[in-house]
Amino acid sequence: MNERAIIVEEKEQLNGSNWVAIIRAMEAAVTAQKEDLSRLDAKVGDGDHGINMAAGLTKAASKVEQLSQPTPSMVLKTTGSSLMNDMGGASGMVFGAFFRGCANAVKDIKALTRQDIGQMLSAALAYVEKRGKVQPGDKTMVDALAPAVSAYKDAINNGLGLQDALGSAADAAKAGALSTVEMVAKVGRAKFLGERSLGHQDAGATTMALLFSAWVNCLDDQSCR
Amino acid sequence: MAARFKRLINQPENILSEMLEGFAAAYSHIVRLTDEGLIVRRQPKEEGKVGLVIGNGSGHEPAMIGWVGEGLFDVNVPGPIFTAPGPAKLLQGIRAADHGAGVLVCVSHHAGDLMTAEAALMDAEEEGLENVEMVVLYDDISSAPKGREGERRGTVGLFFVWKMLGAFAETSGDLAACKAVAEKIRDNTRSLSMALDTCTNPITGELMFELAQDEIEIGTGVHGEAGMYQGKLLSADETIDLMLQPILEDLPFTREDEVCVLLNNAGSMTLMELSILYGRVSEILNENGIRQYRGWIGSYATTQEMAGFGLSLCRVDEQLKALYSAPANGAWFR
Repeated sequence: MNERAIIVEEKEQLNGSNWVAIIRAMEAAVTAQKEDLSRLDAKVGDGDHGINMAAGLTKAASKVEQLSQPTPSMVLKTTGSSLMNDMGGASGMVFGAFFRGCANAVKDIKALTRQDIGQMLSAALAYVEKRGKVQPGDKTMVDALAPAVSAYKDAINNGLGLQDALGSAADAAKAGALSTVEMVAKVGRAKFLGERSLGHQDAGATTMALLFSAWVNCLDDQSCR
Repeated sequence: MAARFKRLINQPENILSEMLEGFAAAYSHIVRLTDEGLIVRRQPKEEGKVGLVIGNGSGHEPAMIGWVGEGLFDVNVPGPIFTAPGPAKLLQGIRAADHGAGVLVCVSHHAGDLMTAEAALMDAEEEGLENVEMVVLYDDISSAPKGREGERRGTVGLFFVWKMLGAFAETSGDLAACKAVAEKIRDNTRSLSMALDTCTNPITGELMFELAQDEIEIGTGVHGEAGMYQGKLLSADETIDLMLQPILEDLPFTREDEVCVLLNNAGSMTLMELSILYGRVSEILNENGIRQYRGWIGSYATTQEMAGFGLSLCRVDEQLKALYSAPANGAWFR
C-alpha cells in the first residue's frame, strides 16, 4: 500500500470519538423528525414512535458523551442498552438489539475500517432478526436495514470507500422504508390491522433509514470527525 | 362521547412518576413505591412462596399497579405510557418478587412485553438467579384464528389469570405448579373487545386511532389496535349477540359448562350501559345451558377515556372456583 493509500485508509476509520458524534447526529435527525414519525405510527400503532425514539436517543447520546476513552464497541453497547432500558417497548428492544448486535461484532477494535463496518452491519442484522423474530417483508425496521446491509457490502466489494458505501446503504434503506407501504404487517401491533396496514409506511423502517442518512451526512460534512 | 383533549396533568414527561407517587401515597397500607420505580406489596409475602411479577406499559390503570397486594401480584414493573419497561427494570422486579421459592414472570402477549421478558430472563440466568420462569398469556380471539392460539394477544381476560393464579401462589411454593395453573386458566379463557369511540394519547395529545362518528369496531386490542369488524352503531343486545357467539364457538363453551364472566370497561362506559349489556350475556348463557358461577362488571384494564368494553368468559372447575373466591386485596381490586 503506498503512503497516500494508507492516509486514506486511516481517515476512513471510525474510532470511539467519531462514534459518539455519530450517535449524537442520529439523535438530532430523529428529534427533528419526531412529530412526522409519530404521525406515521398513528396510522397503524399508538402514535408515539417518534416521541419515544427521540427521547431514547437523547438519553443514549448523553450517556455515550459521558464515557471516558470510549471505544466503538463501548459507544454502541451503551447506546443499545440505553434504548432497551430507558426507552423500552418493542421499538426500544429492536433498535437496542441493532446497536448491541453492532457492539458484539466489533469488540476490542479501536477504530473500525470499512470492512469491519460491513461485518458489524451483517452481524447486527442477524441479531435483530433473531431477537425480534422478524424477517424482511414483515413490515418492520428490518425492511430498511436488510437492503442497506446488502448495498453496503456490494459497494465495498466493488471497491468503493466508506463514505460512498454508506451513501448507497442510506439510499437502499430509504427505498426499503418506502417499500413497506406495499407490505402487510406480520409482527407487532400493526399485525392486528392485517390488510389495513397496507398503504402506510412503517415508522420503524423510516427511523432506520433516518439513522443511516444521519450517519452518512455527518461524515460528509465532517461533523463527526 | 368523544376522545378527551382536555386532561389534568402537569408535564407530560412526569406523568408516570407523578402517577406512581400519588397512587402509593393514597394506598400506603397496601403498596410501596420503591426507589427503582416498582410497585411492591407493603407487607411482603412470606418466605417459601412463589413470587408473581408483571411488567407492562402504563396508561391502562387500574392495570396493573392496582393489582399488587395479597392474593394478587407481589410486584408490578410499570413502564412508560403504553410502552413495556426495559429488561433491566424487569430484572429488578424479578429480584423484588423473590421469596425463596422462585419467581413467575407473567407476560401479556404483546411484542414489546415478550421481547423484554425474554431479555430479562437471559440476564437473570447470567446473574445466577435460579428458578425464574415465564408464562405467556393470551385470550383475544380476534387476533389470530382458532388453532393458532399462541399468536393471540393478551387482553381483558387475563383478569381471570391474575385473580386465580394470585390466589394459588399465595399458598404455593411450587413454581412449576403455578405456571401450570396459569396455563390452565389461560386455556379456558376467551375474550373479545369493542370500541365505540377513540381516545387520545396522554403524551402526544393526539388521537390513538380513528373511528367514524356513527361506527363501532369489534375486535380492538387494549391499545386501540384495529380489529375484525367496523360498522354502524348497534343496540346493546345486537352488540352482545355479535360478540358472544364467536367466543362461545371458539373454546367451545358447551351445555353444563360453568363460567366466570367479565365485562371490562375500556374507559368511559357507564355502569348502566355495562349492566344492560351483561343482562343480554346472561340471557344467552341461560339459553345455552351454560351456568354462571360469578360475574364481574367494572374497570380492570382501560385505555384512557376510550369508550368500549371487553367481554371475557372463563370456564371454571372446582379448583378454579375456589381460587376465584379466595381473598384478594389490591388497591383497585379486592
